[in-house]
Amino acid sequence: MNSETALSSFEDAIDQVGGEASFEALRLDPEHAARLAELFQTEHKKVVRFLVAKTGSWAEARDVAAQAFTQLLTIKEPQNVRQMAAYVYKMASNIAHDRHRFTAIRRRIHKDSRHEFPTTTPSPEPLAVEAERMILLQKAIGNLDAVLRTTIRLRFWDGKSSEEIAKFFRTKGINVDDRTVRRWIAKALRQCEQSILDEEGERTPS
Amino acid sequence: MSHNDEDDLRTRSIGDAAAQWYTDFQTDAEQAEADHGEWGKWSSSDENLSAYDRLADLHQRMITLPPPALAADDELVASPFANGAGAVPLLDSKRRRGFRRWPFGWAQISLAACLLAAVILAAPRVPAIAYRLSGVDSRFITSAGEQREVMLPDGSAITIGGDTSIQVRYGLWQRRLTLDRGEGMFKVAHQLARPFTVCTNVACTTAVGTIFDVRVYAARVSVWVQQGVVSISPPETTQRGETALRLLGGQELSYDLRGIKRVSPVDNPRLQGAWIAGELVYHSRPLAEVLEDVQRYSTRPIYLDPAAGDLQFTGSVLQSYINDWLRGLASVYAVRVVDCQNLPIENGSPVSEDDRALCSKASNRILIRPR
Repeated sequence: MNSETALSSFEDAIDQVGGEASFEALRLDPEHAARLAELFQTEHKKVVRFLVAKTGSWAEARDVAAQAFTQLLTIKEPQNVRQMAAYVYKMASNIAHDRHRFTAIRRRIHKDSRHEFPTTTPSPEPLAVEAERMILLQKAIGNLDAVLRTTIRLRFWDGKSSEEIAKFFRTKGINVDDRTVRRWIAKALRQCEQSILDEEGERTPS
Repeated sequence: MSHNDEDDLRTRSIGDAAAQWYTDFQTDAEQAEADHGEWGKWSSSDENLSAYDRLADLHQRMITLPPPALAADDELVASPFANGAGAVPLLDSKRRRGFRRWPFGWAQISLAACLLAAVILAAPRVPAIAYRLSGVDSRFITSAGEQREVMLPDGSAITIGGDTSIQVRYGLWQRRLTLDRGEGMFKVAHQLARPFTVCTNVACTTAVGTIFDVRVYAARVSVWVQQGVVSISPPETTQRGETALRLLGGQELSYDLRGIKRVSPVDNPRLQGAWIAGELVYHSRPLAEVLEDVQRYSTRPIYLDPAAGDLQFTGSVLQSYINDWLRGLASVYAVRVVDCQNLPIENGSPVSEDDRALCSKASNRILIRPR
């Protein structure tokens, strides 16, 4: 992607959230605009990933990322790319946090609204496959070790922080810190992913 | 958080690292480090990002399910995680953040020495052992009209077309697949030390981490690369000899028994990969070749008169409407389409003795013959 197309995709992204999109209209210093484009080109996809973990939805993540990049346009003093990147992540995380607070109630009512089918696959998968995958996933969760299963239940469904989960385990006589809890969550995700892969592999007759 | 901890998942596979990053962002750890340093470097690789995306998808699916039950106290206490396998005593973990201990004791060193000796002694038998160790030595066969996606243990994925036969053998040093017939689209997980090779009877296509498609016809083999780079060479010289030819993303190459025929850019990669979504798309291809593909999605055998084989076809064929498409050929080309199961009333035109003879070979055949 050259800097011109980077600029226009930046403008498009900002358009989507109804921001003031045109760099020309903003009368940006061309050098600053080029830096913004460079930043957008390298950081946008990373910021979206950073946000998808926080928001639990690709659409929400893209939306918040676009807003965070829009905020950059309000900086009057020229900064280097590294400082701007730090600023974008900061903004992204603040916006995600605010939105989370406002939408917490809605989410609790419409749990399904958080879910969207992944858009990363090249073609829409047949629904039957998707349904089967959900069954495998449920089975995979059921087969997790008691500690891992309890950890993700507390985190993903009850919304407990890793510190709170560590505290919960300590009341049961299991002495862990929040870092270990985070490792358990990661491990549980991986084991579920792996057991789905294994099951799908086994179902294919060789 | 320091990333040097020996028990940090990030120091292990890509998938483990992805899970750790995802979890840390999800739980608001790692805030300060997100904008630079390790995450910036790690997320610069598309392969790392796709491992990350898979976990994000998994998580989004997961939370739509009903919550799993909390485990009973005795179940928790009995878990290996509660007994040291995953738990780190609090004091120890704090100390560990400051500096890195020498991780090996004498016991581990002597064990490593024994293993090394064993490996050297067993070297002559390594290929045989390796296939057994890595556990993949299987064949995937699809029937006509079937399409299937297979995930391999290394994270690579194959979309297998209809009437296709693929053998998959994973060794310690290479991942070797043999495509005997049909078509496969290969999405290769990146493993630098373990190239991924797809061989046909004429040539092998080797990739490290990429997406490419191989299609076997009677007279030629076609390879196109959607993403990344592959090298193509005769089967015996897969170790990147001088004969290897490199093919870049967006290029297509076809070769036959005499050697390489042509390399051309792919006009529209989306159309090229459309077969996965159930559509075969062609731009002026000989009918004979089109029908080879179509046959792989048709439950009934198709006979194409050689005299009609060179007709050029441009257009698309929907895999689920093969019969309609076949019937339609008669209105596009100067051909007759004869349904052997329906002989006496075929289009009102007389049924020749030749037709009867061709139908007698397989009674459910569909014949395509010049008018």
